Amino acid sequence: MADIPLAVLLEGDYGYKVQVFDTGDTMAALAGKVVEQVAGVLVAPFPPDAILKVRLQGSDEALPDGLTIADAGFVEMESVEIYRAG
Amino acid sequence: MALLDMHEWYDLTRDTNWTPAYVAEEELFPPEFSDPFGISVEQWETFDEPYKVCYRDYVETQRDKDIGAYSVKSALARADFFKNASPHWKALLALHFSPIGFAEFHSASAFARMTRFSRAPGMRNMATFGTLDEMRHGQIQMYFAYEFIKHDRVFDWAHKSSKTENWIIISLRHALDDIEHTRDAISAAIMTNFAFEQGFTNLQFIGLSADAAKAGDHTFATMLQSIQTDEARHAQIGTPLISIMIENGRKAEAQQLVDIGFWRIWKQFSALSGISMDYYTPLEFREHSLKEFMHEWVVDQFARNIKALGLDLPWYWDYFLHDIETFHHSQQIGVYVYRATEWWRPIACVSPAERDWLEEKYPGWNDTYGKCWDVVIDNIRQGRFEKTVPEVPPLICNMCGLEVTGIAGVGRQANGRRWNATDFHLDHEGRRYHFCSEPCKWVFELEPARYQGHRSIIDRVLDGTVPPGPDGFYEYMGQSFEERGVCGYDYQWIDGYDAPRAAAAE
Amino acid sequence: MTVEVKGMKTWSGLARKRRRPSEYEVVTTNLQTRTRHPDQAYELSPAPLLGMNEFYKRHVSESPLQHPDWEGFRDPDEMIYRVYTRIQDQQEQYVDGLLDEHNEIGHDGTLSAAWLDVLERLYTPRRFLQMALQMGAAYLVQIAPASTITACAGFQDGDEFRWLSRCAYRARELQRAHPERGFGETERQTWESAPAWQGFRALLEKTLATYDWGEHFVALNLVAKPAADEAHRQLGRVARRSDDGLLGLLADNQMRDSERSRRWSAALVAFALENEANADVIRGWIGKWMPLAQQAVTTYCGALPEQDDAADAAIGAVEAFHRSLGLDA
Repeated sequence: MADIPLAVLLEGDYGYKVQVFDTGDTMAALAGKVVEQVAGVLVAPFPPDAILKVRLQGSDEALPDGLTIADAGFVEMESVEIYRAG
Repeated sequence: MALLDMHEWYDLTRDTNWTPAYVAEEELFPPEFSDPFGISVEQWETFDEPYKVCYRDYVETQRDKDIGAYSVKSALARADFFKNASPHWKALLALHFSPIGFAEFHSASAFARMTRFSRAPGMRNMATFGTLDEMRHGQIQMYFAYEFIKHDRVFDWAHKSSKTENWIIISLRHALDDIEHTRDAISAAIMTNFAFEQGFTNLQFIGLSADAAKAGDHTFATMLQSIQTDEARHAQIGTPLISIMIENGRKAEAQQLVDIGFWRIWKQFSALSGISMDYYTPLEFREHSLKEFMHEWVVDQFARNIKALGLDLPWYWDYFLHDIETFHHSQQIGVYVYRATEWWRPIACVSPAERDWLEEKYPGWNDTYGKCWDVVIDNIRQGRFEKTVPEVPPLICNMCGLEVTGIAGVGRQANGRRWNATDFHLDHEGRRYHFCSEPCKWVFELEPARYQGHRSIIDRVLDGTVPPGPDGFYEYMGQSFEERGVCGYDYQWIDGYDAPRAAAAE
Repeated sequence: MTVEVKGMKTWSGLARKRRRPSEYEVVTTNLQTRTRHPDQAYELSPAPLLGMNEFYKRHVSESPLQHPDWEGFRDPDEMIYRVYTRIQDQQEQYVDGLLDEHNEIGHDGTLSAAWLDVLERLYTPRRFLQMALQMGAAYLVQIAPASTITACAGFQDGDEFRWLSRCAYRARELQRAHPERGFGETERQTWESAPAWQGFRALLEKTLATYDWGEHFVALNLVAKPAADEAHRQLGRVARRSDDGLLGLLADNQMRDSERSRRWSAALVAFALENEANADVIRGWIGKWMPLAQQAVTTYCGALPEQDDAADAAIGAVEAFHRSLGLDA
C-alpha cells in the first residue's frame, strides 16, 4: 500500500483541504481521517450517530464504505467530498 | 513670460517614429514584444493619450507632491498614530505595505518595456512617466513602512518579501508577472493600465483612504490619494490601445485581454482589499463594505468604461458579482486559522459587534462563514487554542495561488445559498491542476504553456521541494520562528475587544 | 490582551552594516524579483515553456557578464525619486529661464542663415536620436538584474525624454521664427537620409537590437550615449562660436545629465570588475562597438562648420571615459 494525497472537502468547511491517505484505506477510514482533522476545527463535531459518506466531487452517489482508495481508482489529488448522509 | 504653451509643441514629442534601415524592423520591434496583432505603424501612431503632461510640468508637480508626504511634521504624525493604533489598524497597515513596495517598483519595468517596444510614440512617452511614477510609489511606500519598523518588525516584510517563497507572495507575483511582465507591450498595457489600474486601484487607494481618514490616519490617507493621482495619469495608456485594437478588427483579442487581466487582479484585490475593508478596518471606521466599494468604484465605473469603449462585460460577470460577496470571507477564515503561514499578526475580526455588521452587509453570513467561526470561537472559549489551527494544509488554486474555497456552512441557507466549495480541476499532459473557479481555469486553458510548468506551494509540499519537518515549510517561505503569525489579540476578542474572554460554562 | 511586538533597527537585508543605512539604501536596494531563479525570472512556467523566461535566461542569466550578486551594486549619486524630481525641477526652471530670456530678446531672429542651416540639419533631428536613447535606457530598466541598476536606468530614461522634449520645443520655436524653413517638418526625413546622421542611426539601431543585458549596457552607456552626447557637446561649442549662446547653454545643461549616466555606469563597471573575467568581456564589447561610434561621430562632426577638431575632441572624450573605467589590461 502506498501514500496518496487527496483533495478533500468536509461538509460545512469553507474550502478544500489536502490530506495524505493510504491506498488501502477504505472510504469509511478516509471519512474518519478527514473528520478527525476538520471536525471540531472548522466544522462543528458530528453527533456520534452521524453517518458520513464519501463521494467524488460532482457525483450524487455515495461510494461503498468498504471500497478501498486503490479499488476506487482515485488518482493523486482526486477531489472527494465527505458529507453527512444521516 | 515668452514660453510656448505646451500644446504648441507637444505633438513634436510624439513625432518620433522612423523606419529602421540598419537592422530589420522585426529585430528592432520583435512582434512578440511589440505587437503580435499585426496592426500597422500608421494605426499605432493614432494613439492619443487623453491626459497630456510634459516633462517640465511633471517634475514640478511631482516634486510638490512629495514635499508634504516626506515632511518632518508628517513623519511625526505617522509615528504618533502608529504607536497608538489598534492591532486592527496595525494588521491592515502590515497587509498593505508588505507586498506593495516591491510590486510597485517592479511595475517600473513593465512601463519601461512599453517605452522600449511600443510602436506608438505617445505611449512610449507616457510609459516613461509610468516608469518614474512606479519608482515613486515603490520608494514612498517603502519609506513609510521603514518608519514603522522600529516599532514592529513585521514591516521588514515590506523589504524582504520580494525575495521570499511565501505563499501569499507567490500568489501576488504570479498574477502581476502574468499581466505586467511577460507579454507584449500592448497586451501588458491593456491588462495593467486598463483592467488593473483603471479597474481596481481606486479600491485600495481611494476606498481604503476613506477608511484611513475616518480612522484618523491622515498621513496614510493622504499618501494613498497622492499615489492615486499618478495612477490616473499613467493608467490612461490602456484606453487608446483598446480603441485602436477595435478599429483594426481586434475586438475579440482586446476583450480577451481585458477579461484575463480583470479576473487575475480581482482575485488579488479580493484578498487584499476584502480582508482590509470588511475585517481589518476597525468597525467604527468602516465607510462601506467591500461589496459597496466594489459596486461604487469598480462594478459601475468599470462597466461604464468598458461599454463606452465598445467592449462587452467579461463573460464571467455574473459569477464575479457573486464572488464579490463570498470569496474574501472564506479567504479570511483561512488567513486566520493558518496564521502561522503569514508574517504579520492576523486577526479574526468576528467579535459579536463585527458579526452583526457582517450580517447586515452580507445577509446569511452567520449561517455560512459564521458557522466555521463558531467552531473556532468555541475552541478558544474552551482554551483549546491548538485546535484553532488545522493540521492539514488547504488546497491551493494553480492560477491565483489562493485557497480553493466556497460558501461555508451546512445545508441550504435562507438566501438560497449552500456549501459549495468546488475544485475546478483539469488534467493536462499527465498532471492534475486545481482551480478555485471557472475563470481561473479558463485563463489556464487559454495558454497552458504559460502556466503549466509552475508549481503551487502545495505542489511543492507534495513533491518534496519544501523540506519535510515542522520547520521546513516556514523556512522555505522565509519565516523564522519570530516571523510566524500569531493571533493579533491573543484570543481576547471572542466576546468583544473591551470584554475579557468569558470562560467556558462548567 | 496585547501580543508582544518587537521592533528592528533597519531592514533585515541591511542589518549587516554598522552605520545607519541611507534613505537610498532603504528604498532602492535588493528588490528585484526576477533574478531569483536563472530559468524562471517570472513566477510562471520556467524556460523554455514561457517565452519571456527563456528570453531572460538567455539574455541575463547566460550573459557573458556575470556577477554572483548584482544587487550589491550602488549608485554613487544615491539618486532617489524625490531628489530626482527636485533637482530636475530646479534644472528645468533654469532652462525655462534661458528659453524665456532668449525668446524675449528675439534670439532666433538674430541667427544667421548659415547657422539656421546647421540647426535644421544637425540639431532638431536629434529628437529621433533622443528617442533611441530613451528606448535604450528603458530596455536597461526592465532587463537589469538589480533594483539599483533599474533605478539608475529609470532616471536616465526620464532624462532622455527631458532632452527629447526640449529639442522638440526648440524645433517649434525655430519654426515659428522661420516658417519658411523645414523646422518641425523635415526632421524625420533628415534623420533617415542625411549622411551626417547615418552613423548615429546605425549605431543606435544596432544598439537597440542588442538584447544581451551586459552588451546592451556597454553598447549604450559606455559607447553610444557618450558618443552621441560628446557630439552634442561639440555642436554646443560650435553654436557659441556662431552666436547661438542658447544652444551652447542648453548643451551644457544636457551634459550634466549625461555625466550622471557616466558616473553610475563607471560604478557599475567597477562593481562588475569584482569578477575579473568581466574585464575581458567589457573590453571586448567596447572594442566591438567603438568603430561604429567613431564612424558616427566623424560623420556627424564632419558636417559641422569650422569644426576642425570636433570629431577628435568628441572621440577623445569617449576614450578618456573608457580609460577612467579601470579596464586596462
